Amino acid sequence: MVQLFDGVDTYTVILFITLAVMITLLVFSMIPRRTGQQGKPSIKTLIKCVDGHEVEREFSRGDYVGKKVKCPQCGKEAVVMAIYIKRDQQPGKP
Amino acid sequence: MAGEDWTSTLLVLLILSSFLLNFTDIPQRIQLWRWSSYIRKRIIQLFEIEQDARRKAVKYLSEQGLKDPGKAIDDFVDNYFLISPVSLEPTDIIRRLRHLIRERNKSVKAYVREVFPDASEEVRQNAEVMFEIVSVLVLINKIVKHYFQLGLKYSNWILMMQLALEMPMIVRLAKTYDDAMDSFASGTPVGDGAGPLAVRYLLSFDVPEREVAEETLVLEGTVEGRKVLAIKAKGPGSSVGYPGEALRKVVEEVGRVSAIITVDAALKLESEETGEVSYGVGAAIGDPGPEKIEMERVAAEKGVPLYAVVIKMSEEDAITTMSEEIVKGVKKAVDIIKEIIRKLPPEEPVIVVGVGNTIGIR
Ligand SMILES: [Zn+2]
Repeated sequence: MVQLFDGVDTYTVILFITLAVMITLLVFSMIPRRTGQQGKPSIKTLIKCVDGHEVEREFSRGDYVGKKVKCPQCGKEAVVMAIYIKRDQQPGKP
Repeated sequence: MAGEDWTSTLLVLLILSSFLLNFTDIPQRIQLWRWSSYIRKRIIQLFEIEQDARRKAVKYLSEQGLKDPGKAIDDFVDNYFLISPVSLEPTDIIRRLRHLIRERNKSVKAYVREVFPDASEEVRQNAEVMFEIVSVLVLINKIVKHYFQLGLKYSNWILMMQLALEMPMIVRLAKTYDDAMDSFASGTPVGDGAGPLAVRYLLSFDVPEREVAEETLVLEGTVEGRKVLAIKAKGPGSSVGYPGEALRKVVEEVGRVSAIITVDAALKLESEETGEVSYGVGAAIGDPGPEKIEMERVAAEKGVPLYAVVIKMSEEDAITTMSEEIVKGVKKAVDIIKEIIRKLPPEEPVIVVGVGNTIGIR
């Protein structure tokens, strides 16, 4: 039998290497995979007035598309054009 | 020497383990045990999602003045199912299905009115959706538990494995429904509202409108020099209306039309982007059948072209608060509709049908 070191034969070495590989694999399989974290979403309300100002503000309860409101810029008649969720842009993600 | 001992021990181990792996069910048993503990964790997660949705519904309903929302939800869940009509003999199946769907809708509405008599129409419509969402989550949980327990009962490891592999998708779906609860509670438009929003962007918020079918409006305006009659559900409460019935009524009123254009949200493929727009021919609507067939029939009877413009999105996008990409998609869809209208003869009116849930959109 081949002796690599004193008192340690090849089989023992192979056994320990195999064990180490298996434990590593097991540990890696147990770590939960992180899915692509998206930026914190916020809901916005887009308001457009008769003068053409477009203002985006935070959504407040009771808003709906087509609701008549006052323009936050000039105070004239305006309408809610859209309500949508906006995710903070994340750099480096396709 | 120590080496020879090792050799014989390893050899014995190898033969023994090969015997265990090949001639017993032990590996499958281990797999069964592993998959089932995985599923058990996911079932707990599903239960938490259900509880969360229930909490949200209770919170919204008690804020709106409902005294015992927990009981109202419990009485709704498990009831109000719909049994599909016999399809072995398909004669008048659409008529039967339409009848069943309408009767179900009616009884759901009656139930909500009964438990929630003082609420406004809009709140009642939103409450209806919340009841339905809790109902769906309860159903998902029950079905998962059913297969899980069957798998355990008969040690059916293939069933267990299949279920375990499906679990991530099921949990995601349940989470989506839970998120949808927030959208319906806050009254924000959802992705499925792309159709009604397109109608509003095509015409405007000031055009004359009237209710032509239950919870369904027809708007009148002019686009590119052509008269446009646009159909959408009545908002801003949660409703999809009856676009098929409305279309028939409108076409019969005006007599001759140059085209019918349907616009709706469509399920995207995994590789497609949310908010992509494409167009084709046919009725863009995802109902169980009655409304869609009505549209096809009207178009075929009158010999009118039936166009479809769709805004692509995932199921998650469709039932949760509309994303910015979808709003952009709606604008693109409106441009395409205008393009189609421009090519039509100017004498006859065009009908545009905005299909989808109009929550948060007047
Ligand atoms: Zn202004």
